[in-house]
Amino acid sequence: MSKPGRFVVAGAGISGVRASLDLAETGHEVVLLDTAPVSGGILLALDRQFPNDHCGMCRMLPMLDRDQSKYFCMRLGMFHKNVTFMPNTEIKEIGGGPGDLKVLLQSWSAKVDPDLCNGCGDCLEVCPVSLPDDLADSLSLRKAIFKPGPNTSPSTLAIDPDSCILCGKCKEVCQTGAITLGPDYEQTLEEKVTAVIMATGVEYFDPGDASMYGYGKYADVITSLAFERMLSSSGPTQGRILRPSDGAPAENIAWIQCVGSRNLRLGADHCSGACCMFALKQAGLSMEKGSRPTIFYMDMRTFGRDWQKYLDRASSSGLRLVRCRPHSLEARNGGGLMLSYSPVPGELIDEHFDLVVLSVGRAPGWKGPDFSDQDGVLVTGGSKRLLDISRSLVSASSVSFRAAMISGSPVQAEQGDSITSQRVKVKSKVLVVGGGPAGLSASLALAGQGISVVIVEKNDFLGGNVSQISDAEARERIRELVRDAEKNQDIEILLKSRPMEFSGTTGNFQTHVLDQQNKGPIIEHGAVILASGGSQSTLPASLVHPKVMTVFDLHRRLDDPEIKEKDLNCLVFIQCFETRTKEKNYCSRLCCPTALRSVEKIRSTHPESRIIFFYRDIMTPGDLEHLYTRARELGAIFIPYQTDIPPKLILEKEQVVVEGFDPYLGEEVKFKADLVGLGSGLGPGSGHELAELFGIRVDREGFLIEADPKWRPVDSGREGIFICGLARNPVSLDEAVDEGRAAAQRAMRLVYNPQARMSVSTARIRPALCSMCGLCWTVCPYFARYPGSKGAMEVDPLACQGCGACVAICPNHASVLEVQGD
Amino acid sequence: MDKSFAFLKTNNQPNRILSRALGKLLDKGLVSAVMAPGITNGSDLPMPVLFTRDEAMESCIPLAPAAGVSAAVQAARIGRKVKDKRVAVVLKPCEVRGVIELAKLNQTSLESLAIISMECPGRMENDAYLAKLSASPDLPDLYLNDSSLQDQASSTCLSCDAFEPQGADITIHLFGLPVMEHIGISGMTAIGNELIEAMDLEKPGAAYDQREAMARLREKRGRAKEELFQKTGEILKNPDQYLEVLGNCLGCFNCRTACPLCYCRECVCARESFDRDLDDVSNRAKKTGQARMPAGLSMFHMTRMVHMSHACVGCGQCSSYCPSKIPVADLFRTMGQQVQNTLDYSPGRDPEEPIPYLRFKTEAGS
Repeated sequence: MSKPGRFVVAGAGISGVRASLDLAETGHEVVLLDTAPVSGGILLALDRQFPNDHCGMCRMLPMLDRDQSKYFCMRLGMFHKNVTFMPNTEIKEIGGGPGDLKVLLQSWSAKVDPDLCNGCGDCLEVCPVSLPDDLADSLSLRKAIFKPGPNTSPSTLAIDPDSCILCGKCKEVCQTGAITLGPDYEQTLEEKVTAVIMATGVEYFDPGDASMYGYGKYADVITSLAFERMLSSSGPTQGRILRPSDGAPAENIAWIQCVGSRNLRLGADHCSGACCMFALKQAGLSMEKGSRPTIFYMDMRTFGRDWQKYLDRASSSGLRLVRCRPHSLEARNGGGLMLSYSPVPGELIDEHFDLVVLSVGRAPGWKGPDFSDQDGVLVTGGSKRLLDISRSLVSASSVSFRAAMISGSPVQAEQGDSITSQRVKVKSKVLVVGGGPAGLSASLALAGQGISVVIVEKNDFLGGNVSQISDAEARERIRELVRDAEKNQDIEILLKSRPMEFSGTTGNFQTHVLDQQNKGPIIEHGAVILASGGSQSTLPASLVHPKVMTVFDLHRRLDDPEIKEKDLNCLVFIQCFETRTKEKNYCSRLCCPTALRSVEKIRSTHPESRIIFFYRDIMTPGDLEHLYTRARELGAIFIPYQTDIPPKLILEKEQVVVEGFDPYLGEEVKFKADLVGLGSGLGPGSGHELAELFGIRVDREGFLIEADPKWRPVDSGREGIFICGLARNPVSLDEAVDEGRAAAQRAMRLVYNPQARMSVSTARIRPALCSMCGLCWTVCPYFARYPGSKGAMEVDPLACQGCGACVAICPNHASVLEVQGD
Repeated sequence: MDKSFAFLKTNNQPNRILSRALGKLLDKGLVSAVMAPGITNGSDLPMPVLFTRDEAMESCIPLAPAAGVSAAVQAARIGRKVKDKRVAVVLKPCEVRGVIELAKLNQTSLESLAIISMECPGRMENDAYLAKLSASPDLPDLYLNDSSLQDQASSTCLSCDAFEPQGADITIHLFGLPVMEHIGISGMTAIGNELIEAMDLEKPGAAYDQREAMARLREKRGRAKEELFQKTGEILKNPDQYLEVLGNCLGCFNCRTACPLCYCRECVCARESFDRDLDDVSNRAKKTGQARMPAGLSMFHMTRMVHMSHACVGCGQCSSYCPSKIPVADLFRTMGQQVQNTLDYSPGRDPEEPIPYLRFKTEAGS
C-alpha cells in the first residue's frame, strides 16, 4: 500500500473540476484553487450546450463510490471528500521537481464570511460602485459587492477587491455582520505536492481592442458570451432576447463568425474550434424564442461526430446561413443596425438586424498559462486552446492520469472509514479491445500504474490503421507506443484475436477471446476499454482508376520516387466526398489536414503544378488553421461547392477530368487532373458487433456512443465499459492518445481498489416477487440490471446509481431501493 | 403477409366440424397439441382444454359463446414453457391481445404458439350461458347464427368493437356468412397458411361480402361503447361516485385473479404495505366517527387502475368474476381508453410496439 499523492489543480472550471475528481476518485488528495470566489469557470455563464441543448454538468460527478461527493447541481459548487477547494487563490511560485514540488499559494480575504452571509442583497442596494459584469461579458452592470455565480450555493456574496472603494456602506447595512473590510489581508501557504495541473482556461478575444464591428460603440453589438447570458433565465434579461440599446425585442439577429479568429491581420492564424457550434446552438435556441437568426460564416466547422447532424437540424428548422464575412456595420435610424455584406463578388447587400452577435474565441497571441514550462507542471488542453466541453474533459482526464503516473504505484483501499457502504471485489485487470493508438495509450497508462492489461487485436500487428495513413512523424510515434507496449511486462498481447462472449457485472467481467483457430482464453477483468478503431473508406468500384485515390493514399504516394519525378500539371482534391451527407453524415476530421499537408509536399517537387480544392467547409480547427493558410500561400486554389451540385469526375482510359462550378467566377470550370485525391473519410470498424456483444449503444454509422456527448465522453453508459478513439468518433492521433488515456483514467477508478465501494443507496430485487417481466431492465438508464440465472432480475451493484426508475416501474415492488447505514 | 381464404362446410354443426378440422392438425402432426374451449369433468361450462389426440376433439367447442376463464393466461403458460414444438391455441380476440401483451412483458413467447382466433360474436356470462344451454343443447352453434342470442352476450362484449382478431395466425370468419352451411378460414401468416392447408378446406364457390355485416356490428357496438365510456367517464370524474361504485367491494380480489394482465408473482396489494394498521383505521375513524374495515380497498383499486390503464385488453373477465357485480371492467376500459389514446398505444395490437412507459426516454445516464 502506497501513500496517496497530493496535487494542486489551478483553475476550477470544468477541466480543473474533471482533473480533480479524477484524482480524488482514485484515492488522491487535491487542492483545487481558483482566483474566483466560486468554482465553475466559464460554464457558470453557459446554461445549455450542444448537441443536445441540455446542461448535464452534474454528470461529471462520481458514479462509483458516489457518497464521497455531495450530489447536487454543480453550478452550485463542487464537493468531494478528497478535494479542498480554495477560492480567491492563485499560485505565486513553484519550486522543486516532479514528484516533489513546492507550490506557494496566495489567497486573499473573501471579506464576506460565507457562514454569516445569507445572500439577502441589502448591500447590493447601497454599494456606490458600478462596473461591467464580467460574467455577462459587460452586457449588464454589477456592484463591487456581487453575486459571483448565478446559481452558486450557499448564496454568499463576494467583494471584488480591485473595485471596492472601502466606503463601508455594505458593512453598515449588513444585518448578520458578515462583512469585514479593513486592509486586505493575503495569506500565503506552501503545499508540497506531486504535480501541478494548470487548468486556467484560455483568454477570450476582446473585439473592443481591435474596434471590430462597432463593438463598444453600438450597444446592439454584443459578444457571443453576452448573448449566452441573454438566453439564460438567470441572466440580465431573464431569458428574453432584447436589444440592449432600447430594450425592444430583437427579432432579426446576425451572428458574425471568426471575430478575432482566422484573421491574419490580428495575428490570429488559428480557428477557435468551438464558435461555429456555439453559434449554431445560440441561433437554434433563439429560434425557440421566436427570433430569426442568420449566421455569417467562413467555413461551418461541424467537425465533431454528431455536429453535422446538429447543423442539418438547425437548417431544416429555419436557420439561415450566409457564407461571407460582413465588411461593415452602421447604426440604423429607428434602432437596430445595418449590416453590409457581399455574398458573391459584385453584389452588395444592406440588411437590417436588431442584434449582432460577435462569435469570439481564443485571443490571438494566447501563450498558455504561467508555469507551463516547469517540470511537474501539466497543462490541460483547454488551457492551450479553446476546446468544446467533451474535448476539454478528455484532455483533463488524460492530463490527470499523467499527473497520477508521477506519483507512482496505485493507491490501495484505505481501511476503516465512516461510510458504511458495502464493498464489491473487483478484478484488477483491464481488457483493451484494439491495439491502435487509443488502445495502446490506454494500456500503457494503466500498466504504468501497475494494472495488468490484456490487449486483443484482430490484426497480426499492433499500431492500427493509422500507421498506414498518417505521415512519417505520426508513424514514428505509433511505433514508439508499440515498442513500449511490447516490452511492458504488465501488458499481455493477443494478436489475431477477437472477443466473442461477454458476461458478468461491473468489476467482474468475463470475456472469451478467440483466435483464428477459434481457441483462446476466458479473461476475467474488472473493466474493458473498446478502442477498436476504424479505417479509411474504400472507394466504390466505379472510381477505380490509377489517377484517383483517397487523400490519405495520395499523401503517401507523394513519397514515391515515381510520382516525384512525374510531370504533374494539375492535382485536384475533392473534399467531403460523399461524407457529411446521407449515409456518412459526419466529418472525418483527417481528410482536410492530410490534403492540406500534401500541398507542401507537392510544392517541394512540383513548384509549378496547379492544385485545386473543391470543398464544402475546410475543417482545420485550432492551430491546424495554419495548414490552410499555408496552402493558400502556396497557391492552392479553393472552390467551394454545395451538396446539390458536387463536382463531377469523368474517368477515361488515360485521363481524369473534374468538372465543377466556381461560384466566384460564376461559371463551370473543368480540370484535366494528373492525380485526384478524394476526401472520402474514415469509418468505424466493428462498432455494431462490439455494441451488440458488450450491450452498449452504437449510432447508425457504427460509432460507439458515449453516455453523454459532453460530460461523459469516454464512458459507454454501462459502468466498466469505456470507449475511445476512432471507434467512438473521428479523431486525430493526439486526440486518440488523449482519449485512450482518459478511458484508462475512467477504468482506473474502478480497478485501482480491489474492494470497490458500492453506493450507500442502491436497488435490490426481492427474488420471490420478481416476475422477470424486464420492465426494470429496459428502463434502467445505467445498464445496472440483468436477468439472473435464478429466475429473477439481478442488480449490478457497482453500476446501480440508486435513481429509482426500476422501483417506479415495477408493478409489485419486487424492486426496492435500499439505503445502508444512516 | 400472404393471406389465403377458404371455406369449411359446417353441416349445421360449425363447432363440431371445426373441431374435426383442428383435429387434423394433431392427426397430421403439424401441432403437438391444441388448446381450445372444451367440456371436461362433467361441467358444461367451456374451459380451456389441452387436446393432444384427434379423437378427443369431440368434446371441443372452439366457437363456444362462453369462456369460464380467460384462456390468455393458459396460452401464455404454454408459450412460456414449450420450446421446439408447436401448439395451436384457439383464443378470442381479447385473449389474443392478452397473450401478445404478456409476451411484451416477457411472461410468454409467441414462438411456439399458432394462434387461431375468430370474428367474435361475444361471450355470454357463465350463469346465463348454463341456464340457456339446459333448454337448448345446440346453443353453441345456434348462437353463431342468431343475433337475438348474441344480444344476450356480456355487457363488455356488447360494447366491444375490437371483435376482429389482430395478430392471429388463422382467422375464422363468421359475420355475414351462412354459418350453418359454411364458415370462412384465413391463414394470416406463413404458419397459418401451412396449417389450413392440412384442414382440407374448399375454395370459395360463391363470393360473400362480409363488409356490410361487419360495419353494422361495428356501428352498433361502437355506439354502445361510446355510451358506456360516456357514462363511466362521469363516474371517474367524480371521486364520490367512484367510491360509491366500489362501495360493494368485498375485497375478494377476484378481479385480480381473473385478469389476464395481472402477471405479478405476488400482488403488491397482498402484502404488508397494504395491510393497514388498526391504529391507522381507528385514527381515521376518530375524524369522522367511522371507518370502513378492512381499509385500503380503494388503494387496491387505484393500484390496479394504474397498472391496467395502459394494459387493459377489455376482456371483461374482472366484471364477470365480481360477486358484487361491480362494473370493474367498465372502469378499466374507460380509463384505459383515455390513457391509451393519450399515449397512442393499443395493448395487444402488435408484439413489436413498446410498452408506453418504456418509450419515455431521457438521456440521463445513457
